[in-house]
Amino acid sequence: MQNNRSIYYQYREPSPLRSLWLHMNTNPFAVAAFYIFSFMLLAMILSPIIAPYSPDAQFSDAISQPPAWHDDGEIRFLFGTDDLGRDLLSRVLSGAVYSLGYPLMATAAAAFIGIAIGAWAGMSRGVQSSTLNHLLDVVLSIPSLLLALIIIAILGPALHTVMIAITIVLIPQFIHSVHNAFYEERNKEYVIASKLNGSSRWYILTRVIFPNITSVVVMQVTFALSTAILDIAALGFLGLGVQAPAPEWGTMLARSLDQVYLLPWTMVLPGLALFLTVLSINVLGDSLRAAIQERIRGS
Amino acid sequence: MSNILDIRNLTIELETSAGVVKVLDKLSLQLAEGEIHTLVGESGSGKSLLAKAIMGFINPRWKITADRLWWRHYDLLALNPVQRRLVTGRDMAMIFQNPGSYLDPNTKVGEQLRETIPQSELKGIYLRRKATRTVRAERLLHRVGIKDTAKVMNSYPQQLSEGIAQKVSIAMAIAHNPKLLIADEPTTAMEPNTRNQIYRLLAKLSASQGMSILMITQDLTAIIPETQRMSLVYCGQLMETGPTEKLMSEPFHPYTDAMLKMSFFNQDVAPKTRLPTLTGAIPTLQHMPIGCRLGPRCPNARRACIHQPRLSKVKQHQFACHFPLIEIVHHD
Amino acid sequence: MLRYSLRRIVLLIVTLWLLSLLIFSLNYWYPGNAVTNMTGISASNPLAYQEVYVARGFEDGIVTQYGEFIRHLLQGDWGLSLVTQQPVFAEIKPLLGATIELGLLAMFLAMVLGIPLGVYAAVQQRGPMDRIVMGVSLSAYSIPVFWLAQLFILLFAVKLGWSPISGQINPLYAIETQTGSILIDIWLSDSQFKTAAFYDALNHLWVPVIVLAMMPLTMLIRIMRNAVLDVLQQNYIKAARARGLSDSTIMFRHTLPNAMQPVVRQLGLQFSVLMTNIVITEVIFNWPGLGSWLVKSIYERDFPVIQAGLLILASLILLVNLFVDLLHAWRYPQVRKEIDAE
Ligand SMILES: Nc1ncnc2c1ncn2[C@@H]1O[C@H](COP(=O)(O)OP(=O)(O)OP(=O)(O)O)[C@@H](O)[C@H]1O
Ligand code: SF4
Ligand SMILES: [Mg+2]
Repeated sequence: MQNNRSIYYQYREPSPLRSLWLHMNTNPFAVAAFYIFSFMLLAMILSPIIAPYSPDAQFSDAISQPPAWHDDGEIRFLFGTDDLGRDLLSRVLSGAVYSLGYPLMATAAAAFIGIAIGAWAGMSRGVQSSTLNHLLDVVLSIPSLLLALIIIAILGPALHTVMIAITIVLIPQFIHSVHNAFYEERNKEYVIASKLNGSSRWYILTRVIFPNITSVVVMQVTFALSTAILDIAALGFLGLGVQAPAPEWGTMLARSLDQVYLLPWTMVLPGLALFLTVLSINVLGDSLRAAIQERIRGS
Repeated sequence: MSNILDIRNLTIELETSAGVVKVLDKLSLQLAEGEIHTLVGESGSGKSLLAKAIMGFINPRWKITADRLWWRHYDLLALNPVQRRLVTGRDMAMIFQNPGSYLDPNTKVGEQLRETIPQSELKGIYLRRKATRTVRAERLLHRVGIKDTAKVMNSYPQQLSEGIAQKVSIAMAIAHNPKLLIADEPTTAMEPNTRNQIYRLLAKLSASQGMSILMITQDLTAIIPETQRMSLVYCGQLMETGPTEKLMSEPFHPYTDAMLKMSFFNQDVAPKTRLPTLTGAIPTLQHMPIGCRLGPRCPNARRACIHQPRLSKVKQHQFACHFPLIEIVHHD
Repeated sequence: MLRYSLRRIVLLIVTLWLLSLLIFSLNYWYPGNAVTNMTGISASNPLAYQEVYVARGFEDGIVTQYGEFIRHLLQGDWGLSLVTQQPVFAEIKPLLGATIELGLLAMFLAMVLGIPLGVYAAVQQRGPMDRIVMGVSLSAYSIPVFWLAQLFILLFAVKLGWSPISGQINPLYAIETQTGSILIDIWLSDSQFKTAAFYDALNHLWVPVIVLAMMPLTMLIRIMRNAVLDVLQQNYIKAARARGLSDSTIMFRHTLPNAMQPVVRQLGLQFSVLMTNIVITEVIFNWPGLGSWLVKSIYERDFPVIQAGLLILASLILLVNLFVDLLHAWRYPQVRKEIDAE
């Protein structure tokens, strides 16, 4: 590297994202959360291979089987089976696609649309911007789940309508945070300096401001992802989301609620999977926020 | 003359993203009772840090070492935080460089001023004490030259201009008649007229109540006229210290010399010629030269300067230089 | 303050107007016939249908229809439920009472526990208790509310048998529904078993309240801790210490008021979160409130009810937000200045 050739030690300020990364690396909880999340992702991707059975396979000889460590348990059904004799572990593994994969997709789509609109609104001034702000206030004051419920009331419950609903619900949050971040940065000296240098709007947008708000965007993504996961699961739980035979974690939990007296173990695994996923994302988001604060304070 | 503040070889190391840096390097400073002492140094030379170290305004991550940091007969570094706060709260006060951030944004200025007035000086029952406090707070504001006291007392700190905020923080600092007042560039945001007024007030306080004042400033030309002694710091090292007139008329240290020559006191410069200045620029914290930190910029520098010079003393005049501007009996 | 309040109230009115537009348009987007969706009167009843068709301005353009929609809304004619054919508006009051009771109790619990715990964690910063409090709160924050409810039911109702599994009160007490809030209803009733009914209601109440309080509680702890830490680092606190002010003066006069600022600002958001969770919690615990009513209406595609539920919940949130904003601006005047200066 060129740095090493000069005799003086040259200190390079790391880029915003990189400094976040460095900061996160010093936080053991963040690192642990990162590994847990990666593990969940891996489990999701590999679920067709590693799941011992098909999620829908019903073993009529092993209905309502408790977990393996229980006296009546069997080792081939490690976490037990449900009332239809389906292996819980396989179902939870395959369910990751619904409960983690789909939220990821919805978040990505919402981020793409929301950031574009937010950036556009952030660069425009006056009426455009304040109208948007007021509109956003209305939409954001309605909880995302409620909004999703309404959209599903219009479209009817099904997998694709849930995806549409969740994506639509997440977009305003992205617009809001990106818009605010832009708004704050836009009036800072370095942007004005660049403007005075005659940079084009597009250049200012992509090269001057955007690098400085990546951390905000990353944080919003983690936040949106945990919202998406929880909302999809909640919809499933209410019976208004992904429909029953699919091994979506929220749907599985709803089924287990009816059987809480008989098969209490059926609620453990899907709930735990949901909890760990959300926890790891929240820890990541939280340490990101701490890192951002640290950076602002340090500068 | 007895020194009530005695600092010997104070070193402060900070952890920055580029590693540990010594922001103050073996700095010594003595202050006598009732003395006004001016500390001059360029921006970033560590003046405010010194002041904060004296006040105990410290971040636990800073590493502070000193051969001696004494206030009267207290060894400040040996006191526990509670004792130290008692001592500082009773004896010392500081006027901060950016006063705005030292005022609670959610409490009215009057309220903050009132609670600074020490309990021990008030008599009577609660309501009476409260009334006395208000009267005393108003008087304090008058003394620092604020006329519209009611309005200022009723404002939140953000509503005040920098200059007024500085005055308020001066008022808060002198509220309990401290024995030591550290004034960190107290008049930067004021017009010259007000500045002189504040200077007169401080000089009067010092004379009448035996208050010692450590004035901190960047500007050699704007020092308080009553100052008895001066110290110059450069990059956290003490360059020279001595009685004001002596130092001004007959500097021993190349740095003092250069500073005087490039100031407007210097009448010897022919019109339209270059003002003599030091070459180069102040090094950054990460690239401090070893030995005498002035080395790379010093006209007198020689090889020996890679070792930090010790303080030499000629009468009351002290300086840290291997090759001073006077011929003195050789040191080793 | 007056100027700010006026501005804020005008903003609320605009927001409510936009909300009414949204709800009005929903009637056209729902499957089926807009007149039926609005009024709950289906075309299979031609006489009544024709009547509301005219009354709702469907002979004219969309603008008249909107005008009629607003007029009926303000008059309290919110249509009939498609399922029960009962007036929707009359059903709302007891439901609202039940929901508000649950929500207020949960919010109260969260604040009473959350704020002191947050301060405690901040004061113990990086100590073991801080880590425990923060670790537990971060974990509890990540538990989906429906799973938490299930765990609580499993533990307290199934395993320990301390608490009934669902409902508001044992129906044998025959408490007449007036406000919907069960505790107030018991108090108002002339039942001879008031005390027993009261205990029974509390016994039904505490599990959902704790479940519901968990999320705002953990958020409050975290916000409060960070706020206190942030304030403790500020120069003015250090300066106050150097001036020799006592610890208690610094804590109660300077640290807490400043640290409460972000907490107050967040209360509106907390309330929205609470409202989301209340929908789910009511369904799980069979609580006869707005949330379970709304979800049931979505199962049944009972559009007049959906519309009413959405309107009430959203207005409630908007009102609470307005209240919180005014409180914030009143208590922290310098914020008001910034907003005014914009
Ligand atoms: N909290 C801190 N963390 C890291 N570095 C600091 C901190 N406070 C001060 N410094 C560094 O220490 C050096 C001395 O700072 P100080 O504020 O004492 O300078 P100063 O002499 O008061 O300058 P000025 O005249 O501009 O006020 C500066 O280079 C500054 O960057
Ligand atoms: S010690 Fe050397 S470098 Fe430092 S001031 Fe003296 S002559 Fe200059
Ligand atoms: Mg300074």
